[in-house]
Amino acid sequence: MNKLKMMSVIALTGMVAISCSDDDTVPQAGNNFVLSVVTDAANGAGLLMAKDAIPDSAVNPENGGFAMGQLRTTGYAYKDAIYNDTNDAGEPGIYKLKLENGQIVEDGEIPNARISAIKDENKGYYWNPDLSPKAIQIFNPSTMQRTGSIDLSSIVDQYAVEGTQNLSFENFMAVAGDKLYTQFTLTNQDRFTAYDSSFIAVINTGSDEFEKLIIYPQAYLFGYFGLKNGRYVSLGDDGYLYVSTWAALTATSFAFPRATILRIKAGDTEFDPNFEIRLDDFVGGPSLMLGGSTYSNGKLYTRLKTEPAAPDFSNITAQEIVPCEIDVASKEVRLLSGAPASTFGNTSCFSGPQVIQGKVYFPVSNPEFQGYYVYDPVAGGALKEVFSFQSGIPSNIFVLEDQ
Amino acid sequence: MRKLLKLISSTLLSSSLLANSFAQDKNAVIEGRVTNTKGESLVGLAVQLSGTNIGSVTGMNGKYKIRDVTPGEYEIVISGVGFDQKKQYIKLVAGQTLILNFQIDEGSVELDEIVVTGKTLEQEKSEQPIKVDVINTKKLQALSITIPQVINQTAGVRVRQSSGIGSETTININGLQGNAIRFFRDDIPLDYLGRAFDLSLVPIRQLGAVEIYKGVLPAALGADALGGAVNFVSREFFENQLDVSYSFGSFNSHRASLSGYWKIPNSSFFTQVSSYYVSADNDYQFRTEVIDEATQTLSEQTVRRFHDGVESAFVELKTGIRDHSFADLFEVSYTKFDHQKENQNGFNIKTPFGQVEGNEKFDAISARYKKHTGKVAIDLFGAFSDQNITLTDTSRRVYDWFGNFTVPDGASRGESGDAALIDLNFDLLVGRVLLNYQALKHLKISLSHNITDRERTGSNVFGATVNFEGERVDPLSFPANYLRNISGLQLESSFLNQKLIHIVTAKRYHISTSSLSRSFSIGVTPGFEEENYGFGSSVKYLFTDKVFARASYERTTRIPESGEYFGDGQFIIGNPALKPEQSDNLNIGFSSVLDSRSHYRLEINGFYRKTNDQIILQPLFLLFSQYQNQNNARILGVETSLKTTLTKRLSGIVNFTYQDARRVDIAEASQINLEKSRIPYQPYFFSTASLNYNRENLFAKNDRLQAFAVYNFVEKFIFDPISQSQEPGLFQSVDNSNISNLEDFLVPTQHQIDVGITYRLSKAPVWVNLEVNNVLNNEVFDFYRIPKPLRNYRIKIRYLLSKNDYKNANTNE
Repeated sequence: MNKLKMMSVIALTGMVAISCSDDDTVPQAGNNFVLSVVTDAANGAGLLMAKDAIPDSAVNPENGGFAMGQLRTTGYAYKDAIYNDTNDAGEPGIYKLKLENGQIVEDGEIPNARISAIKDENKGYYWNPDLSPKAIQIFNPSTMQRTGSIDLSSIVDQYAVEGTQNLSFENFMAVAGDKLYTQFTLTNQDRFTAYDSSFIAVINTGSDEFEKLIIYPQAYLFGYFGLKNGRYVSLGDDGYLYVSTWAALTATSFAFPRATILRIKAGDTEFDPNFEIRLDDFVGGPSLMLGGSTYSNGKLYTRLKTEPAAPDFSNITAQEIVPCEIDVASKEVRLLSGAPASTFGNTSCFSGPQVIQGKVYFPVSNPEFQGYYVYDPVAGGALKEVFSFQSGIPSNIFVLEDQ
Repeated sequence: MRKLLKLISSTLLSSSLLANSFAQDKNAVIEGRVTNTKGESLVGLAVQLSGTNIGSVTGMNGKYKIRDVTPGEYEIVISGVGFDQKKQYIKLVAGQTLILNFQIDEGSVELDEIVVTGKTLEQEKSEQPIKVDVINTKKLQALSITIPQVINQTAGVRVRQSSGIGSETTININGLQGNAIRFFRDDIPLDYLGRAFDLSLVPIRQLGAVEIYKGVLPAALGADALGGAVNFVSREFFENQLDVSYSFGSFNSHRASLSGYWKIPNSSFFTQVSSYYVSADNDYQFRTEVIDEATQTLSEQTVRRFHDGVESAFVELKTGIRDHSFADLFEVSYTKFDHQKENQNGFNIKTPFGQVEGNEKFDAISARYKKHTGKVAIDLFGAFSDQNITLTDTSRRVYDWFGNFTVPDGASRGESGDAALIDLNFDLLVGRVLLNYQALKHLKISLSHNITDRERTGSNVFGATVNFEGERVDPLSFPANYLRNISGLQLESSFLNQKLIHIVTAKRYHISTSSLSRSFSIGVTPGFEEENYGFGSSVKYLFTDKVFARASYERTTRIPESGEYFGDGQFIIGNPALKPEQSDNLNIGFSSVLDSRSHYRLEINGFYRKTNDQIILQPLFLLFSQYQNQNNARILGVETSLKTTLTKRLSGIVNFTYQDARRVDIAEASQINLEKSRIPYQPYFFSTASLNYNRENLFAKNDRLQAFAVYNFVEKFIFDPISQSQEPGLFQSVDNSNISNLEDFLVPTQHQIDVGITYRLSKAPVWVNLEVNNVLNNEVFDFYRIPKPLRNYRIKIRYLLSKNDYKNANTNE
């Protein structure tokens, strides 16, 4: 219950937490893979299962692994380690896991961290409101120790005025180029936004100093409630950070579906004024993305609800979420065929598509199938089934470099 | 209030008329109670007027009544095999009601020469067709042992307590727990008494007995209990007395209790007081991971809980008449309760709370009327309770385990995550009618109806508002109404010269409720009604006086709580489609004395539960949650208990319980590996062994020494679900598990020993008690990995002022 409450607060006070993690990039040969599967939908508990290759047949969680108290949301992989967003008890923090002789083992924990991103082996960033709601903490991913902080109070205080009750950086946090991008939200007593704008702080990762506040004139949920495995933010090889939103916010409502994709050129301090994709236009009404947009080779990939979402969410659980491809240059949207549609409910997967060795892996989750389909952007055509879970709900595939 | 007075007056008027219509008191009446020297009610003893065939047999509470006796002189004889006969000459005049209580000694004949037919109340109840364990707390009055410690000595039952005194408790009965178990006091649902009878608070001195019903309930207990019930039986007083006790223990814990009873001489009027006061700091030490402020790394250290205190006060005043022609008992009572509890931690134990606290208080009035006349017995009860519950979590502080705190710039209010200043008011009206009718010599019919009417209003200053008819409103300010009616019919018949007893029950459950709720869009869920039926059958066969078998079955229903239907108006979404939980409960048991001297009694009970549509709080997307009918569960278990009288002074009990509770009938393909998985977060194998030593005249005449030692064993159990194939076996190591960190998901195997000694002074009505709990100083857990106290101590002093020799203050030792 506390986990749920905590998650609710996270959700309502902030939005998405996406890191530019390495599992979104094409790995080198000799990778290891860790499948993340939710085995109990009621509390989100699950297993991490180490593999030396992506399976091509049904995976049975009964074969064992490393148990986690919560895997509906996961962290990300960086080099040879997983930096999960909760520890094995399901408590928030950066929980580092490594492989030793094919076994997953714990390799450090920074408790109560709510969102994080890594610049390099020796520097990463996170937010912990217990230490300071108005600061970004710095940590060393190798030693898993906090090493400093960046005070943003002078920026936040301009907006944290009467009527704003909760401040949260638990939105998205990503490193691109020499910049750290992180959104903060200010909410009112009803846990809705106190402003009609989105605030994204830009920090120089060399000097660890604040550079600029990007203000976007619409309050957006950039991502989906700290769901890093949703991959709502991805760094393209074109040098842009693609930032997607699951919903827009108002002062009295928190989740009006309105899938939108924006982008910031890595190292830049403004959104690209010439780039905005609104999927409302494609579905003919309020649109909903369940994961993504994930960048690969000039295309963005997402899982899109094909019918407009009812404003009261009454049709949200319909099995009509399908893989989708968007051409970055032309902004053309195309539904991909070959995979069954997914549902959106408490026994569904919320993960976004991910790119592994040049191919796009889409989680598919519905009452009949839980697993992955793959799309080959070069060959095109229909998606093909990769593997299914004999039981359980897919939540991520971590791709780790060999040690 | 007006509703209550109307209810009470109308029920009393109608019952009085009904009772009088059956009255046959032309001549004299003799009535009273028969007890043994320990004050325990004796059941089944013959009460006879010598030379006549006029007589009676003592009933469940040791009481007897002989009606319609022609005035004159008689010799009354109390007899029962195994007891000394008691005789007394009496003289009766026309219209007289003679109250005559007897206390008789067990015979001096050797046990192997007799067949004991007289039984104590708890024996008699425990041997009914419906499976119930009765714990006689009268024997424990001088001890500082707690109710959970006592209940945990019962097979098939486990009380778990999250930390110290006043902390959250839950009871598991034959594999079912939480809302599946209902609580009663003197057969009345406890709702109107709030937390006053919480297992972790109520002192043992407030109770005469604790009855634990396992799966099947008699019609008299009017509630929708799915898996059993706990009935707290109040102490009954039969003579004037004042009973005061005080105990002091580790962690600055104090428990005081005062009870008194005074009957106005030569009248039927009495007045009575029961009260207790409990306070504790609960500041015990334990090992946990502590965060280094600079590096934010973790290291395990010994820390002390610093914000877990509790303070509770309870007082109940009663006055009324007893043993009068108008009523066997008519009493009105006023009850007041005030409870404050600090809250030290939530789910994440790494970050303690320092200022979160809750308060509960209520004022309640109630009335009870009992009348037995002819073949009819009536029991009426009505109560009104004005309850207030507050929760305060408004601090911006961030604490560490050493009690230090910071106030980060910009910190949000609320240490537990959501700022809260919740103030809830409940108006609660409870009524019950119970009618027993001895239709035939071997057929008794019982009818009961129980009504609970609850209205809640309140506020949360820091809570989110919701949109209602175009305006923002605090969802707690919207009245929530909940009306529950439960009716029961029970037929009890006996055959084959009382060797075969059969009980059939039928129940109707009905609720109507309304509140502000929300779906994904905000709105009011319309008023809601639900009606269901249940039935049961219980049979007992007495092979010999020492051996019996019994079986009972009930199909029962639990109606969802208001909050389960409507959610909290914020993050818990309402679910108007929620169905009641239903369960098929089956018990089969066998009880036998093992030796000719009746020194060993073995009881074995098997139980089966199949619960459908269990109501579980489910996450709904990543933002909300909702109560949904999700699980079906199947529980198969066995409990055994061996009671022994090793010597005249030494007795013991050993019991084992194995309960295999599993999820079944999983339809969702993604969860199919959890088919037949063990229900997490509850013990499945546990055992208790206890020894009791009792000796009188040890150092001086009339002194008494009591000593006990209790060993508790709980096998490790999981707190997150895993598939059946991955479960560690009973007593097996987890080293070979294919879940490499399974140990982190286990509540470890636990061993706990508690010991105590009590000495009653020879020349003063004073008892002194010393207890040591968790003698082995082991880490023990009930809730996840939140540790309970290590070795701790209690000392207690009790003083009893009674009009009789305190040694014979029979209800209190």
